[in-house]
Amino acid sequence: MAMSLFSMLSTGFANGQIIKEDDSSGDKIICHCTMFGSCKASGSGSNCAQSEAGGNIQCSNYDGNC
Amino acid sequence: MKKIIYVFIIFTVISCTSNHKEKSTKVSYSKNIKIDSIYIEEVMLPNISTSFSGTFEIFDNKINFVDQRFGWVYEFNPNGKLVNRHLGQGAGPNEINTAYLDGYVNLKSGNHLFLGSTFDVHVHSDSSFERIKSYTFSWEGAQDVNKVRTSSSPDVNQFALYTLDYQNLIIREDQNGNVYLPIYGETQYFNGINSDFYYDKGHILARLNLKSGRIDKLLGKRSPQYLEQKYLPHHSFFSYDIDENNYFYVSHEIDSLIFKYDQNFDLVSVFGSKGRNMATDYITMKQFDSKLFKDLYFNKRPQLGWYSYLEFVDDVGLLFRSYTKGKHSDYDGLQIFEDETLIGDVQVPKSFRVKGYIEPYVYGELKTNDDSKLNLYRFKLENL
Repeated sequence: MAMSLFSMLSTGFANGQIIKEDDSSGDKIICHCTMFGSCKASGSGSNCAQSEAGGNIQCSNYDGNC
Repeated sequence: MKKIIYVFIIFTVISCTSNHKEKSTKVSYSKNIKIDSIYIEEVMLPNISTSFSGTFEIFDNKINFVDQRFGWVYEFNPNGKLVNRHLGQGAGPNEINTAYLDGYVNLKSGNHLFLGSTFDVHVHSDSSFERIKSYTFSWEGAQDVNKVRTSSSPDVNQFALYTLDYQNLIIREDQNGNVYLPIYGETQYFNGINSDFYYDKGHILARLNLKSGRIDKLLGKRSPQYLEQKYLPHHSFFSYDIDENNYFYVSHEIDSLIFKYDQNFDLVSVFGSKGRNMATDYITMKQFDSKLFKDLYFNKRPQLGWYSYLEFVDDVGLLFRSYTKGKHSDYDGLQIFEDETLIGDVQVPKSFRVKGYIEPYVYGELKTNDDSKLNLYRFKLENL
């Protein structure tokens, strides 16, 4: 049986996944897989990349994780 | 050129819901064919170093090719002569500081707006391409994201329901300086695979206020045709443009009709005409299957006919709509509308779409997977 729709639905935060930190270390970026297999800040699928607070990752560099 | 003129007008009335107001809107199938063919010529371009992944944009008598992977913007004159190369990846003031360009729009000010994969917006100046600002745009909603995304009765105005439609990231700017981004949903109860509500009520555009850097409104909706074929998430894309009077024109991939809205997204009119010789035997999905979905989207979809791209060219007051015919055909189609009346439905090279106008030519590109050549074409409008 096919996996039920978006059972991989993540516990995303803001839409999209730019989490405001309370301290001064900057925002945290979480990238999610889209249903098309791309890694984007916007998306509802499983996590494909995540930065530390203040990090500067580019989600598109992690398409291979989807 | 042989000129065929015939007038064929049918009006029907459909009931539409726009901004929660139920009202009837006239549907026009008006035809008055003035153009029965066009002569398309290729614009020869010099060899350049490029990823070939990108798009041509026409603005202010310039032709720019935006290389999405390397961040270069190649500027050509109307005859295809290379004028300059701008930007490129990097952190310098004349470089673009992102890994991949998911979207681009030439703003009406002349400035250039680029969108990266991490909600990063990069605005560079008109001709010098110097960085004006870079920021991460915000679209936090008022409600808890996890509650919104797991709700079985979601509020369609909650931003957290949506994802940027990166597969179809046509960015446009209205006359008021707002920028629009296509969106879709892929949460458990709000998606194109099992949700009538998604097709009936879901929005399709997010409005980005450039001054505040925030998404401030969600707009539009999908064609009622999608509820006639449950379900076609792999065909639930749309194209749109905004004319100089701030009217929106929206064309959905499987629907021959074009929906015209005012700047408040109240429906103004509906018009259109079916493309010729289109293979429209779409395959529906009954349940989510990731492998099937990707097969239908990446493999089957390119073999079928669908409405692919809209461009309203203010310089000539014409709306161009491209459509694919399917693998059985060596050509695709291009419809030309004047005042909501079809005045031409002509044969064009596969994947051709109009991108702009520099007198006396309409320019367009081929959106292919060809990674060895840039394809820029142009044609003149005769008999108008």
